[in-house]
Amino acid sequence: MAAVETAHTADDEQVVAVERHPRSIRWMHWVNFPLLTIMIYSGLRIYWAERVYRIGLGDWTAFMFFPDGFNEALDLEFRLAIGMAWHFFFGWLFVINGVLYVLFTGVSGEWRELVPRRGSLRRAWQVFLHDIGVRDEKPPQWGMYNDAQRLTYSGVILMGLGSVLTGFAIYKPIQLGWLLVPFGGYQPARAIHFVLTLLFVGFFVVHIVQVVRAGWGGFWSMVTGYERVPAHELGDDAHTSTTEVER
Amino acid sequence: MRDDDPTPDGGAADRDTSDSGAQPPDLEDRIDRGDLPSRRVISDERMTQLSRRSLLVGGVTAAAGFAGFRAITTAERVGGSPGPLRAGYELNEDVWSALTDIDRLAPEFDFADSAMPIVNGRRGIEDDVDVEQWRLTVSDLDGSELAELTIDDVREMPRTETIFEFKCIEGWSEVTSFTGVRVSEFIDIVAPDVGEWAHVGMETANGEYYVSMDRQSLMHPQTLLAYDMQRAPLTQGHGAPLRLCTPLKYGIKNIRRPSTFRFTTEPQPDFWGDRGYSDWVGL
Repeated sequence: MAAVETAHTADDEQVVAVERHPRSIRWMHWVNFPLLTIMIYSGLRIYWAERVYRIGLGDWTAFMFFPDGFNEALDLEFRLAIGMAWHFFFGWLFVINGVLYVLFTGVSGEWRELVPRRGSLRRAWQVFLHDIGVRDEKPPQWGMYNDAQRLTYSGVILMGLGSVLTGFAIYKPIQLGWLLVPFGGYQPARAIHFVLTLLFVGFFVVHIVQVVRAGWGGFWSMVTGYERVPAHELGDDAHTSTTEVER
Repeated sequence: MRDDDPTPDGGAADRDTSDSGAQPPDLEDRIDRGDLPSRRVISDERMTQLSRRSLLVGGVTAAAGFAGFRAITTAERVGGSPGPLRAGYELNEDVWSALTDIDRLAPEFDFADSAMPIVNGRRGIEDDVDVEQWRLTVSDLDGSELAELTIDDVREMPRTETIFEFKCIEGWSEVTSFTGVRVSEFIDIVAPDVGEWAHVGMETANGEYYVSMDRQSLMHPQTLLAYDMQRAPLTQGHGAPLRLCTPLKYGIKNIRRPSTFRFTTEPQPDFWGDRGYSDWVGL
């Protein structure tokens, strides 16, 4: 390691900050948060108008999407028109942000951090076992993200694409009738749109839990772009430079 | 990785390429140190500067976002929606109606796959009608009467059956057979010399339900004034003796038992259009 001038903590440990997320990624990430929230909330108001999905078999229903208390608490009742107004307008912003994100990820080379690699599925399973405490050894990872993250972060992009395509298919089933074909028709496309939404909510819950587990530094790096690390840990990461530290 | 750096692995040449230890031994891929984006390293002081700046930028952005949200939700309502949303909604519908390829046909189905849909309320047709007494009054652009028709008059016109997936704006749908006269043929018979019209207003007898329909949707070959559903005369609930039927719009435009058919140049009052829905609601 070349000599650098850095801050020293009380026990003489040099602290630097390493770049994690480029500015564009950070903006698009944080813009997506309210946009996706608007899409899901307005979507729930649209769904309320014919709230038919359930987990069950024949006449027996295990769980209804959604219980009356849920609908009342979230003020979903009789809000179809306003739900559609929000949904169809902010949908455009959501799509534009998503497309820009995919384009930027591709053009910038950031995709190399995200796409799954050979063996990702196996190592992702090992990550899961490690995270729940069953497995001691953390599987190796290449870059910022482990393989479970690679699968998940790539997966949500595909989910987003699915939501947008099914969304447009049920929004304009005659003008975009060809879009209904791969989904098997109007009601199937509607159901897929709903299931994908549930998966997005599931992703969000796991994402928040993991961000909390990873600690403040990880969260703050998605705001500032950088994460503080002890200087001696530079070089453990496959792609940090250990030469010049910028003042 | 810097946003303004033109190459995906910019800086690779400057990087320390000595083995720093963390290469996963069981990866089969050929490991290329230039593969991942390079990451800058900054000092602790610079990080503190960035943190402060981010707090400021983030705070201002969040405040602006909340202010925008409040502005939308507290804005004066237009047609049942907050003004900015109504404007955005109508922009959206303008774009889609402009892009509409009116020649596209709704998919049609076999009678064996069709069924009666539910009666979704009786707005405008709460009381049953004596179908023999029902009249449809067709009026010109200036309001003068062009024709007054009985249901038998309409049944004598050329018959067309359309079997399509009727869609309620609430989300449910039903493949249903409708039989009646094409609106385009109806107009040829009843109002061949009508002037340049752009919309038709239709109202129930008690005036409590009403729709505005655009010309190109009315003239579409699948748009009917229908008197049969599932090959039997309309029931009272479904709008006996006549209803508008078009697969191009949600069910809210498929007015049951209209008494008026008014040619106009301007969009007409529309019950749900005044209550937050778009006037177009085209599919």
